[in-house]
Amino acid sequence: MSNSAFQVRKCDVLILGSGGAGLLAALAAYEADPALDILIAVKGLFGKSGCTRMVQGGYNVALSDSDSVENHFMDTVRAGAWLNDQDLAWELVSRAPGCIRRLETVCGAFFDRSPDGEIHQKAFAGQSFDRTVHKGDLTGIELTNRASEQIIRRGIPVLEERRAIALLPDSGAGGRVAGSMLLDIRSGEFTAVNAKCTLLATGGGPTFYKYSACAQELATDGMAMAWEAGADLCDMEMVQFHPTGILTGEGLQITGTLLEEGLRGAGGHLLNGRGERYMERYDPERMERSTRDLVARAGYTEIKEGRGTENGGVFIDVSHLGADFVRKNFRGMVDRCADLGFDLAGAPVEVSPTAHYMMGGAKIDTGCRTSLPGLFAAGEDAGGTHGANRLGGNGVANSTVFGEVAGREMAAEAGGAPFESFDRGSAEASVEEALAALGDGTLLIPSAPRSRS
Amino acid sequence: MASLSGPPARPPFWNLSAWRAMYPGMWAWVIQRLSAVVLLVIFPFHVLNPYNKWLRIAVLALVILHGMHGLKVIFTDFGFPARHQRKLLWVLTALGAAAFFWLAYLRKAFWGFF
Amino acid sequence: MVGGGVIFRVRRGGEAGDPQERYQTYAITPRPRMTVLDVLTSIQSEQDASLVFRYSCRVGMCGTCALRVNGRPRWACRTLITELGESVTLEPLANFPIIRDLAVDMTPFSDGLKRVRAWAEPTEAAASAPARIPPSSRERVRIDPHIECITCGICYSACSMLGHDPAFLGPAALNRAYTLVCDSRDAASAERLAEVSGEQGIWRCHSQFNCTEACPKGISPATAIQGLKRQAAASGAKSFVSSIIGGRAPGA
Repeated sequence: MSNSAFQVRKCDVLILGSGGAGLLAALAAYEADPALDILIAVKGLFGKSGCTRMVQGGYNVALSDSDSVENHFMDTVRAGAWLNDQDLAWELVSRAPGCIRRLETVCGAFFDRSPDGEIHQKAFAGQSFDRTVHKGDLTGIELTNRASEQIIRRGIPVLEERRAIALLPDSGAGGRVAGSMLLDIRSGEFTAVNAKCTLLATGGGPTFYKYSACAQELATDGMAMAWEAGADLCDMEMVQFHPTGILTGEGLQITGTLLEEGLRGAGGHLLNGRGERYMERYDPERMERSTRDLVARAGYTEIKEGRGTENGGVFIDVSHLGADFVRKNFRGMVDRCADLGFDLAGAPVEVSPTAHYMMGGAKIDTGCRTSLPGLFAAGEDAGGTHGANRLGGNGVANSTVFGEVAGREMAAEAGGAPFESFDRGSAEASVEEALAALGDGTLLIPSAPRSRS
Repeated sequence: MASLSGPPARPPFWNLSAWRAMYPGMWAWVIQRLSAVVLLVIFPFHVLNPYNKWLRIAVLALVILHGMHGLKVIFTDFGFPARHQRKLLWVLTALGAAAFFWLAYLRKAFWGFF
Repeated sequence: MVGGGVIFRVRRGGEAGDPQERYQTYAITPRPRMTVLDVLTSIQSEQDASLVFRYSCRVGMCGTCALRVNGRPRWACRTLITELGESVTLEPLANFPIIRDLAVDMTPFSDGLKRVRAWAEPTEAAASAPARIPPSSRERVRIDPHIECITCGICYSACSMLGHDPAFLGPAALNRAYTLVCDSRDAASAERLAEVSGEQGIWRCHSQFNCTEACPKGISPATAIQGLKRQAAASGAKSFVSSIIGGRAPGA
């Protein structure tokens, strides 16, 4: 390949990522204007890459007559230690009911029902009301499957296994973002996508911690590109640790993945190495149903002060809830543990706090606009909504709600606007930088000197 | 370079790679089809030479084998739960073996086998 | 080999960029609770950086890491190596074009889904508000065991009929079609039933149950196919009877 060679492709709206934010943004943009040329580019496989797929617990939304959007709002800002951008938090809670309805009525999702046929809402930690909509304990599968099917139905083009490596500035002095440079992971070829509007929906990805819960291809691409392009970021110090990441062994892939929050919501106990319910000392009122930041810190403190388990963790114990109850309501978790040789329904399982979510990200307004014209951000790429700590169940609500908002706003903006061409010099520089990182390319040679054959 | 090639071409019929290391249900199906082919071949000989006891035993065995696995297909098509299909397979195979034993050995005088 | 290790034979090559098809062997020192995915990542980081495979969630939700382990399609992330023996063969999924090493091109799989219109086409009522359907209702009892498909391609690889003829719609697409045909919220069931009972649909399934045996999610696509067969037969019989009564030609 010659240096800095790339193809050019044009589209009205470029969406980077196909998790909840990317999928819903594409659907909303299409709904607003079906004539738009929308393009989705995703680092992994379409609809499978990223963390929306991995949502277990569910989706917080005020649906019941005895609940209210205000209650949801208060829970959200209280959990966020009042550091939330309250306009964004309000946008989240007030738009969530409409969004969850559209997931059913437009995408054909079917969330779990109560015996009377109404949408069931389960208990999640840190909330004043049981308002978490779910599909069993593997909600993300239903959500991403159904939404990506609708993308395929509408014929919206998708580029799979294309990693966005840089945002492209426009060639003029407008300071506008005019698209993104994509690297085809399969072929190593580059494509500069020239877009009127670009959405960062690549997800977060605190995969740089020892234990992390998210999909392993995530590497905060969106935030990094936004930073390099000169966008404002906010709350970058706020990283959420989930209290219950499973421990199977150091360095093993599955270590750090989540045992879902509903286990604590349903009344599961957390025990330290001595068998004490240590949450008594940290939040005697809410105990294990306290917010994630508190429970994770408590677990971490126990481990650091020498009251952890042999492998440096704590235990989650749900056996007192009854094996049948656990098997019925947490089938996904029980199956997963069984594959690894643990009996979740009958015995304590070792867990540890695990890096889970980045509350920070690109600073956006309520229309998902970043500080750079032409650049939008939604989902985990955007910051501010959750303040210092995100409520369990607000993550997927956040990505879908703001995905829709971004889709609509981008459709409105891209509709009549002319194309701004991108700056060729920056595009070439981004390709050269990516190639330089590969060194002399020896890593790509298929023969393997160190393998035994 | 990884250019996408679309759906794979239909392999020629002599390519048996579809029958890889697989599950009992598939082998049951293969055996049922093979038993039919073998029956087709040996049945004319059986008609021409109805008192050859080896042909008789072979026909009996193949008919039972083919029939029992045919029953399995019928049962599962009419709603026998698929998660128990392996058990159904073993039960029918055991019944077939028992029937063969009864007919070929216990009633051997009637059939004139030995 | 190194003492006490497990030998992994990994199928490589055979595609355009690396035409020589071969099995390369790697020795791995097993650790407790090590999965096939751990083996692949450790080969890549410690022995051979050029090995190509896919994964994402590493916990059985995304359906990205499927491959064949000792001939049978499995998910790498939740298959412990302790149950696999001293010598393990890893190959890409069958019935898919290979991109490189263990990564396959999923296009035939998604094409099957497209052909059965594997997406909700809500009725007017279902498009206006979330339907009120109790979990004990007949349709949910039928649909629920089939809905949690992670589109990993394992059933597609296990299906011997697909090995014979890639034009067959395949287990996952038919399974999804079944969940839609059973769903009272869906408006396109008739068209879908016509597609799945066509030449490349349900009647090509030979009830070998490979898909059911292989599915890591415990879904039984074969059951879905049988459900579709019954529905197709019933609707065929109905139109036949009404054609006799109404004096129209069958299928008119």
